[in-house]
Amino acid sequence: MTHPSETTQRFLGRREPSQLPDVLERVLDKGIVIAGDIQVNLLDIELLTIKLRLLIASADKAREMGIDWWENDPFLKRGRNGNELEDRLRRLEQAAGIEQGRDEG
Amino acid sequence: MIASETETAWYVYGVVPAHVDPVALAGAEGVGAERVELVSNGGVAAIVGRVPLDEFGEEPLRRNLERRDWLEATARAHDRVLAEALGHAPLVPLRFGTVYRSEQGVRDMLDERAAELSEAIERLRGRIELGVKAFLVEAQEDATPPPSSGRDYLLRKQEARAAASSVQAEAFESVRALHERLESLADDARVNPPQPPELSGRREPMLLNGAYLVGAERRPAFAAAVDECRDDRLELVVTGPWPPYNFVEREDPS
Repeated sequence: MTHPSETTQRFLGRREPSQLPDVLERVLDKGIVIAGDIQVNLLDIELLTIKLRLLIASADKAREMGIDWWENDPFLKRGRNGNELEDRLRRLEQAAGIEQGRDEG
Repeated sequence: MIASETETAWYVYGVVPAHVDPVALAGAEGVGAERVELVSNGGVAAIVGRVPLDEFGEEPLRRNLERRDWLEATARAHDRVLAEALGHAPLVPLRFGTVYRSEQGVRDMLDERAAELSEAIERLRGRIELGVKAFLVEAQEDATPPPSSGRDYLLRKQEARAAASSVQAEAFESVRALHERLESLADDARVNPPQPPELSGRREPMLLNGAYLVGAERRPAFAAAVDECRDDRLELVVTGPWPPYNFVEREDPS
């Protein structure tokens, strides 16, 4: 009989720093769902995933221009395009009818 | 305790057997940079952190989720706590953002779900999740003379498309073989939708986004199998060990 948790530890080793999409994919979309007292519901999380995709897609141009932002800065940097991205996101969300309750400036 | 009851919330990361030594969690810093602790009941224990309600309450949480920097930091912290615990105990990871208003709320949840959680813990004991992503490597374009005519140009385009689609078909076949091989070494496997380039951060198409539940002692064999399947058309990226995020949601939440 082996001791499983010891075995786990022995083979676990150190892991490389994880890419953010791999973390988000697991942490936001997987894992057991237990309704806490204060839990963002599943719908919100799906919505969030859509938002993330939109946000990251918006940064695609920067990468095409040769800015390897993903490697150097694992997530979208708040850059000079920040407001533009937010605005674009808001417009897209409104068009898709998936955003509610956000104050309009 | 300095914080009053109303200001504190209990963030739950995951569930481990009740006998786990809390010292095992000493190194992990939580989503609110808090010290992580265990709340036990019914033979299982929740890995929890006391977090401020003004950050993790319903409204603030909703707002914070819109902040990319906050989301990145907390999502990584959630994963870090679980990855740390994984080295010491079998665990059931919870989805991000499970928060209780009181420690009693956590205890009640454990009591209610003890049987199901214990069963999941036993199923996952000694196992880790490994991720394998496969990218189609674009062939280097040969330097060819410029097309001599419009027809020549169109012909070449057609040939290039045909070549690309046969390369892709071969690559898909390799990926399927790879997945089958890895699945045979794993206790369970999931194929997730490939991340689009916007998410993967890479131009090359992702052909496989797999997750494999592997006995920890099989990790070297698994890595060797991945290495054997490498070829110049496919770039394979192994991630993890992860807590078994992909292998806990069995029942229908509806």
